Amino acid sequence: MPRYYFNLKKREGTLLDPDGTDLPDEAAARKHALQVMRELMHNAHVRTRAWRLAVMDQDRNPCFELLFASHDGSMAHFTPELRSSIEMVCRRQASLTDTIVDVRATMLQLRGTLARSDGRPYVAAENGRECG
Amino acid sequence: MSIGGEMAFEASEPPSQRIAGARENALLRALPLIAQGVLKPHLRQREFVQGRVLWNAGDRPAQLYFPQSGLISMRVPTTEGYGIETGSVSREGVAGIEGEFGSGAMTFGVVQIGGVYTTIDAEIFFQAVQQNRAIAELAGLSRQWILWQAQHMAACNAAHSAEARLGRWLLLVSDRTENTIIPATQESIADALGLRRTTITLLTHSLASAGAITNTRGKIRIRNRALLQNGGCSCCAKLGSDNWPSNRLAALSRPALHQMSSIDSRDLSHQRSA
Repeated sequence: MPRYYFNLKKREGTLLDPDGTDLPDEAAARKHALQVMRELMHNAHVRTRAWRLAVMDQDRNPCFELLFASHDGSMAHFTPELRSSIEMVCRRQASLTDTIVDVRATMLQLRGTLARSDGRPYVAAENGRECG
Repeated sequence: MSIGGEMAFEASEPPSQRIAGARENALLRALPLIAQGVLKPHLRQREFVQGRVLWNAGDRPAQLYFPQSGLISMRVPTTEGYGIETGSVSREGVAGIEGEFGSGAMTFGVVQIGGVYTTIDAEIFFQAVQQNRAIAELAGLSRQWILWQAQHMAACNAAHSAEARLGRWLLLVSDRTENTIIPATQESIADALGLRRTTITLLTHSLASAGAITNTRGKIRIRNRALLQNGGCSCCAKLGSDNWPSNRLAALSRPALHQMSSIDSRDLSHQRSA
């Protein structure tokens, strides 16, 4: 059975799922992800709306990513316009987070390159992502 | 059958010779000496490892379990094959007391943290309840403790987030086992809280990166109680040591001691010499 990894992306950083879970296929992984998301969201909806669950396959290639705001049952009584605008704000906040993470990685790479040319130590990877 | 010692014990399992000691169950220790003497010939010591099911839901527990260490979790079985924890007992209480009126238990009892347990035959214990007031008080307080926990869990599960519930669970276990290291796998915590293991993995990582805990395989160490309490829920405080049956029984059994603590020492020495 293939293994899937469920990483949680928050503004403060990404929390990695080191062990993963064995599931029959991607449809089962999606069902599992939705359940985990519901559990994390329960009684914490406002705080978790901009969080995302990024699902990776066993080779750690990204499969899909779920935005909490898109599956937030506590917004069911909102008008569709309000719901979609909250979702949009959360999506933008998430992509801003990604951009900040990318900029940070680029800076670490740059520092790494400079440090290497001077023969000094440098950060080679952060959060499982190579940046050296 | 009377309490007087007519019960025969198998040679392989001699009754416990030790009732007082550094790691004695705190509830048993809170009994007055006479009541301890009633139970003493019938107590045995046994070790149970994590995962051992002590009684099944629907069955009447044949034994009562007074943990000297470790923790027993009482869980209601759910359709998905999970059992959701509605209460737990460590050194402050006793497990298996649900079967008093011959009824089957709603929960099943499972060893969440392995340890040494003092056990007593349920029949003998409930007979002693009829005959000794202090033992009846012990039973009443223990039932109330299980009820209070279930009431709080019902509210907590409905009102609080998964992160808060995990914080509450860790603090309550740590307080009662008197250890900042909790030997529990993420699977067993997930099972107790009725959550997916992935959810517990992500939440423990989150708590660890905030500096509240350290998390190594099969062990969680509490590093910062305040962080857990802030992120946790108010249920911890309400299930604190003031409400443990061991402490409440001690207060009931020795009211004179409690009154004396408010009298100044001069009065006390006067009383002693009188």
